[in-house]
Amino acid sequence: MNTPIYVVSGFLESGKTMLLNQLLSRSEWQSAKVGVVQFEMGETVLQGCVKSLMFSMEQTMSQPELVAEQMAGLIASERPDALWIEWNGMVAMEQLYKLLNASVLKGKCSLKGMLLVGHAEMLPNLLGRTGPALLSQVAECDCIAMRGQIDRRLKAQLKRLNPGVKLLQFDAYEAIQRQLTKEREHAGSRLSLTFLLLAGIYLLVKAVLNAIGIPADTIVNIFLGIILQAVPFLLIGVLLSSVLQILVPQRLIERYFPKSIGMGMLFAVLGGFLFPVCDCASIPVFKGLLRKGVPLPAAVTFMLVTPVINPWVIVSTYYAFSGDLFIVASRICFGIITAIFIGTTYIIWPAGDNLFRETRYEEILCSCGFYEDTTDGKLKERFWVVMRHAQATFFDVGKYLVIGTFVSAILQVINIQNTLGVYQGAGAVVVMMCLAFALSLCSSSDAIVARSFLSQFSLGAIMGFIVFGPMMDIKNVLLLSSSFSKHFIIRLLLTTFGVCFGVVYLLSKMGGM
Amino acid sequence: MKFHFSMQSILEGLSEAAFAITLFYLVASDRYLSYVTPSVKPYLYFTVLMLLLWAVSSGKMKRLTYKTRYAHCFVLLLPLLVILVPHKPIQTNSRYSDTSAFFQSEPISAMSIDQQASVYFDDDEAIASPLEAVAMTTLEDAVVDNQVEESRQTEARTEMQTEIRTVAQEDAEKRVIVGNDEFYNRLNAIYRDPSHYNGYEIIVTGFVLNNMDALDEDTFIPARLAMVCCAADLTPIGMPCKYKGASGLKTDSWVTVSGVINIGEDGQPFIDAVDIAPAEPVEAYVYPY
Repeated sequence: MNTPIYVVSGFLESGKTMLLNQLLSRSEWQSAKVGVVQFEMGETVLQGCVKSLMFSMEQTMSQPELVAEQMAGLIASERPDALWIEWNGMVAMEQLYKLLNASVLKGKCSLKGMLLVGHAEMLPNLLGRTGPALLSQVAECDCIAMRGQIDRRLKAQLKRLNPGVKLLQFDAYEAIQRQLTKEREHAGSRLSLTFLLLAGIYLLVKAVLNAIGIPADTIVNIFLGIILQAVPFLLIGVLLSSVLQILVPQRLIERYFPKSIGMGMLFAVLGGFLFPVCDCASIPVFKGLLRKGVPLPAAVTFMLVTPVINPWVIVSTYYAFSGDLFIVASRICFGIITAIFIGTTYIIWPAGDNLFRETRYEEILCSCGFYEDTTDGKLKERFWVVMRHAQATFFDVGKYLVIGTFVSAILQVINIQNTLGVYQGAGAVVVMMCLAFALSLCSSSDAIVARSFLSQFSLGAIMGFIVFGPMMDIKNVLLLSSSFSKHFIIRLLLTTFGVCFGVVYLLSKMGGM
Repeated sequence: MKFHFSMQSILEGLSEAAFAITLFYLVASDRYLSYVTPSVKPYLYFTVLMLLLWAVSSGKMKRLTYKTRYAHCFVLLLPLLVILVPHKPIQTNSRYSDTSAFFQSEPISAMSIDQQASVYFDDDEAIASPLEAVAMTTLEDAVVDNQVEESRQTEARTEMQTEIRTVAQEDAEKRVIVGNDEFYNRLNAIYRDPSHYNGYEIIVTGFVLNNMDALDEDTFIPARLAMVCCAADLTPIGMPCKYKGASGLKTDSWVTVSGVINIGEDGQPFIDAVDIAPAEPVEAYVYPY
């Protein structure tokens, strides 16, 4: 028989033993045989339980086999209807899973419900400070029993960590009991159902679009075109970023990355030339560089310049403008100058600390778990850590890519470029930059589209299109928002727009474009 | 127990495998050419391998979790859904039909002149299209419909079947037959050296592009859609064609034009149409590089 396991976790003094006693004294459990295992030296649970075991955390960490054996013994001898576990809030859930996955326990029990006990006034503080243990508990539990008033902010915070979590009052015993023990649908069947639902919605939307005269198949073709173009590069980007993060020790970068900011930015530009990927790849690498302590001005310069001046883009620009070297050279120069200027703004006005999303839950919860200590260890193990990390980043960033691409494909098909009138001078540059932002073209395909505007717009405006577009567009903003703070993204966007406009407008005037 | 804890990895692995296999099918069957250019092929194979590696090693990469999160799997499942639901490739210019923005009076030439010879003979450049055979017969039929002399007809057929026509052959006959897979190369050759081809006969298939402001009443372009990078940048290209009833031709309908190459006042080549016959649509795009 497979014994169901219910977990109650929380910090010391949070009242989890009291709650457990309350739950076990309910009529549902009166006639049941219940075992209790406490991973904390504290009050004992007596009511209704057949037998209880108690282990200290030290013991659990140092002799997990022994603990698992004793638990297996309890299950074998008492054959309880359920096993309740009281877990210490300071320890990551992963420890418990490892224990339950031990060979002596395998197949004898399965985790059926998880409850976190907390205090509404203390939880927000603890969340930010206590590291991955509590976060992993919030992320993994089915419901949270909370003392005190749950305000909107806390609720939003918890929902972000765990969208499906149920928040209940501490004394809502019946509801807690129901939440904890209810049959949960299999994730596989939920996934299939969601897929079928999406398929239905998709077919419906297609039909509606066709009915109102928007060619849905064209949107589909453009969407797939951009996706198939971007996914390989996104993969390369997340792999590079993960290698950087996990295999390259921080001290190496600290030692070899140029100390002076000027040299650092030059280094960044050179890197851009040698890095044959589009913006989809440069954003994850940007994040990796920052995490490794590369100064922000240099990293920003690198991220912005790469998609404008990488070899692929140079070739496709050369091709698109029928071998016009002047345009190719202008694009490269404008790109480099703009990127360096933007980098410089971050030297003059440093960005401060709020670079990343407010609380870096994502990083702590990153499915590769604890990658801080992974620059050592066997190469083979580290390879799999890189893979795990890359995979997690791929899925994380990928959702923004898919959304951004959809928006861009729709905008292209409804032909917003046709609604544009005729613009001159500065107005034309601004219009083309906005268009580049909205269309979110891949930087190696935007030149050919830009060329087609030659009859409508001045070369200066075209320059705005092919210099600003690769640096910033809807897709990039979404990709950035997977890990950076709103504040940072808005500043970067506005700076890029302003600087890019200034550079392109002035230089193209001087160059007589 | 083990199964329970690694459910998330299993779901991720399944999505990855499903996407990788579909992608492999797209690439292997050349269907990917509706979305991206052949230059992306190695990258797509790389993607297939990477995703398969992730999928088969999901056991190794397994993280112990209780909660199974699966929403992120839709990063792959959504594009998969879009790929699997049948849809038609973008066939003609209709997408841009009311703009002059995408008009191009000439095929874009990027390759330098000295590459000419190698481009000319390099058959690897030609993109294998699943519809090649169909398109070929169409072209032949068009010739039949036009009731061109019988001897010529057979000649043309043999030539198109052998596919590679040397410059010498073309020069000897003073005739350019633009095979559907050679659309870009042949037209580009003419644009590079118009005077050489002045007076040559030409046979070319494309869709009717006659609704551009920049075109005269009696000019249209038998155009094809060219893809530089992906389906987002499809652009019509082709050589203008003078024909009395040009504005009367049905926009976006496919035609095979036979005519004579001429040079306009601006020094650009154009076709003086002798005959225009309806043709089957060519589903493949033109991939200039």
